[in-house]
Amino acid sequence: MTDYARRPGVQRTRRSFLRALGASALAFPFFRSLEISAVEAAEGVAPQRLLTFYFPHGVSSPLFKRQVNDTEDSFDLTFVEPRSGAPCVLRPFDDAASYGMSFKSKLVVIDGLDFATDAVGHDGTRTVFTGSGTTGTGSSIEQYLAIEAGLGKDTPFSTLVLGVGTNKTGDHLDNISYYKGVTVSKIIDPTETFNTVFASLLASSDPAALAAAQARRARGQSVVDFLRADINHLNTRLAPREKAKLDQHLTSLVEIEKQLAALETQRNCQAPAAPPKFDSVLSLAGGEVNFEAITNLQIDMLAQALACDLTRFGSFWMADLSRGAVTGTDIPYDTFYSPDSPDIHLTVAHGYRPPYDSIDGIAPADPGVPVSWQLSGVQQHYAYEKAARLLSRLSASGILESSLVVIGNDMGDSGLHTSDNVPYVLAGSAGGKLRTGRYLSLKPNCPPGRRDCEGTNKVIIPNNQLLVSIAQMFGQAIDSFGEPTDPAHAKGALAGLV
Amino acid sequence: MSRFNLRAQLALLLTCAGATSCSSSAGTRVVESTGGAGSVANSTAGTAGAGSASNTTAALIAPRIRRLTNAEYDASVQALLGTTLALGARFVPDARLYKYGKFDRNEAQIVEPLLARQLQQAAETLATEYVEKKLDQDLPCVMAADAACARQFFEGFLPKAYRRALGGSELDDLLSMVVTPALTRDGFRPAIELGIEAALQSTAFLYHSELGDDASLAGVKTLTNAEIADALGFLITGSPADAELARAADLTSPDAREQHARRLLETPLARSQMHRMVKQWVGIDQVSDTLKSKTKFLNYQPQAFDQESNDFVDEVVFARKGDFRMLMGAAFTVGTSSLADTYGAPQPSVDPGLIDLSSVPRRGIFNLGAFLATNATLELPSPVKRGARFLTQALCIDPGDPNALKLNITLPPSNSSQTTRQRFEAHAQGACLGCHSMIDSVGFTFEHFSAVGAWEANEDDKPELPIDSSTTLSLPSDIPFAGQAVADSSELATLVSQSDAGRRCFARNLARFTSASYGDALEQAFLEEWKRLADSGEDSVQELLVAYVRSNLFVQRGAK
Repeated sequence: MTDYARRPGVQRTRRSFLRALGASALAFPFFRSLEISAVEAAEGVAPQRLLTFYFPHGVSSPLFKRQVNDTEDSFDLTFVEPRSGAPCVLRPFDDAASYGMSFKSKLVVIDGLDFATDAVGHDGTRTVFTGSGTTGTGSSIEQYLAIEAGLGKDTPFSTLVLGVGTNKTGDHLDNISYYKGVTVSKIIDPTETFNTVFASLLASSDPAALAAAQARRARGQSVVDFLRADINHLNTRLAPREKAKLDQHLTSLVEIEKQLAALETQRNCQAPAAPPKFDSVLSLAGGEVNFEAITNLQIDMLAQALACDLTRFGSFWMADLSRGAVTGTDIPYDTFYSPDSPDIHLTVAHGYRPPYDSIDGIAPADPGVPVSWQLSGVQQHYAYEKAARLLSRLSASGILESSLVVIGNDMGDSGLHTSDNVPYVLAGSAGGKLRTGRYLSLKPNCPPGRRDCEGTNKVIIPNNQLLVSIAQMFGQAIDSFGEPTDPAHAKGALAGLV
Repeated sequence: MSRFNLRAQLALLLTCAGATSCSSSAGTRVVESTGGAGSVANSTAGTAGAGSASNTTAALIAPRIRRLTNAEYDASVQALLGTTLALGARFVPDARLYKYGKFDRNEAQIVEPLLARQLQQAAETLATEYVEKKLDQDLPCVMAADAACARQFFEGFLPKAYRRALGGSELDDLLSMVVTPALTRDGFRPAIELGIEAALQSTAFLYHSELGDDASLAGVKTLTNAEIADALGFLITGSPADAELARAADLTSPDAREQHARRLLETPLARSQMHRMVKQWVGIDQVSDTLKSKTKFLNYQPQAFDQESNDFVDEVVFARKGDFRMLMGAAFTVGTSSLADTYGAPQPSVDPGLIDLSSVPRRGIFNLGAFLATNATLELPSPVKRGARFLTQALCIDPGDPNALKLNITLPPSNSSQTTRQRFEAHAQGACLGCHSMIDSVGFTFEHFSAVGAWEANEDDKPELPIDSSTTLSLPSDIPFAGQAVADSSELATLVSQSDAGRRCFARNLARFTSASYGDALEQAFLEEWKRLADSGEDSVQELLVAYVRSNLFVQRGAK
């Protein structure tokens, strides 16, 4: 086993920080010029921003849980778990050498939330930011705030939904963003992200382009007006279920209309350099070898879109490390993968064996398998590294404080693929609405290093409460969010969060 | 017993006590109730003629609009504009009909923001290409370049784009809101371009309408003639109605629909559509994207399996006018001499051509390379994937979800001294037994087939690792061959091909594809139709489609 596999990311230096910014930093020569974003300079008051960030397969509980002597306000993210020799998976958030600063004081780590829906295993992906199950009709929190609550109306993109590896629509396990129960598609090709998101910046950077943009807007607006009238006419003939389809279509037209309007808006941001084209961007079809580079590019462009105020709401769907996706990372292939399967779903994830509590009268405690914690931790450490990269970008643009980044996951225990004690990490304060620098352990009777504390005294703390709290931080006077199996679980904010 | 097994068994007991999931031998049936003929109430007087006894208001689909699939979008712009571009293939993927078959025809499709942008960009590209390359030859008045000529163009173009006659002010709306301002602002050609862009993003173009004439929401409606033509074109050919169908004025008549259906079934487009339907049913439509170990399988070419699947469907459904029995149990395939080598079969007399499989244990589409390679890992066969997929798609049996049961799932460790089957036989104990006795009893029958579908006597060519594909089928008791011993997947496929259970499951899947939806009432009604045909030995795939097209299910919509 290599040092990295035991202690990924421990020995980062200033040089490695620059490498972490890497080629994409060079490709974004104006990034540092965004330290005070255009909109904040113009308005004086920072608008709130929300990003959801997802990666699959839970966390290695012994490498994530708050340590025995830690408290809510005093906790360590740099510990090395003694039995596995592996570092805390949250270490990237307290790694100034790699990311320019420690984000520990900007975080709220939450341990102990549960999914209270029918979505199990990877179907739980649907619940992470919706609080709803497989037949849910509601929106994910960023879509709700941006579109239903109207907080995204002032930017060209109400939301920006990016991802890596899969752009499948319609199924629970491949999507975290939903608008009124329907999946919102992800852009997974950096070139498409670039062309879609930064077109208005390209247009407004010189007078000739601006004139062309104005003409383009006039043409586009006439089409949008025609299509809106067309939809409204058809709508009169439809039953409610069919009207919902056209409601989605109308919402999409509003987005196009806003993007047309943005063509004429001057911004103090310049477009990044065009990203390289990749021969494959799809998982299970050879795209994995590009995922490291794609992930970095997508994160950087997402951050820059926020900094340029092209959007204030977004989501990022991150692929796992299956099928050679370690290519280009520092993670050694041979030590991370099982010799006969490069798919970590069946090896690393399902092979995870945390320690167990005893169940009275049924079975004794089980010490678990430390090597499985370490392997599982490599995946999560990598994902939190990418989240730290996003935070570093937002911080460099001066918008981390006004933002809230919510990092979620589809399960708690990947060995069982269950959704109890699902990890969340919040970063930024949504403009001072969240008291950060804390680690909330919501189930104090569930000791560190234990699996899910289920059993006779199991308490469900639904993730719906977190989503209610987030909505309230963004000024929404609601006390319920999502559609859990028991409607009572949808109600109430998360105690002690704000 | 390990701690994990105890916990898992506890969960299993709770689950099984409360519901359906596991028994020692059976999983959950997927919406495969035993209602059968006569189980659907409220029969209406048939207006559609032959074979309509099954049609009931309860089974009717509600009035709806259905967004075109990406493939249908491409076919539509190609038919309308004469382009060869296939921009829809790069749109966000279609949301498949979830769980009950992975069909792209799905009534739940919508136009969400990313797709709307892609549609906008595609419309711009297509309109530009058309005006540059085709406008001059299609529009005699083009030199006039005035408002009258623009009107003339859209008088001809818009009904084709909307696939129906124009209503009310539709033409004037497009002209006044889009074309005329552009004519003033940008000139003639840009105005034509913009009008085309708008038409390509309109609801009439993007959605197939199944609303009928009646504007009220009550009662049973019959689709309009244009809607029936549209439905027939998209169902049989994956494309809008061709000129002959679009001209037909009597499509409320079952005989007229049958006549057009049979005519369309003779076209190349119908073959492509049939490939799509069968491959999506079996779950092999993405075999071309599968990857295999480059060290173990140097020359793996999944496109060859895709081509084989298409050719096999052509041979069964069109050349031989075959039925489910043939799809499931055929002792032949179509391919190259290289494929015959892979299968250990005699060479085809022409290359590529018909390959006789009667001397080798390989029967039907579930034993061809596409299914076997899709349901395998990079290097090894996957008895679980093969077994589970066969159960859901060939027998409409849901094998259960281990996550729902909170079971540990552990890939058996690599062990070069064991066969795949021996490694997976760990399932035969503890909490896994309940469901895997069924899954594995099916999956192990495929053991002789490698991860790329080649037949192997021994695992990895090691004589000390002889492969055993014989099992005793652990299936729900209402499956007639439950408990029967089979030597391999060839015997299994033959049994299923001759069974009502397999034929009914296929009919259900056909109902889902044709209706772009799922629901027990409609599927039961379809099964009733199937039974009538099956009893008379006329249930070929083509005849099933024709029967559906003739039926009230196809042309009537219920009030829901």
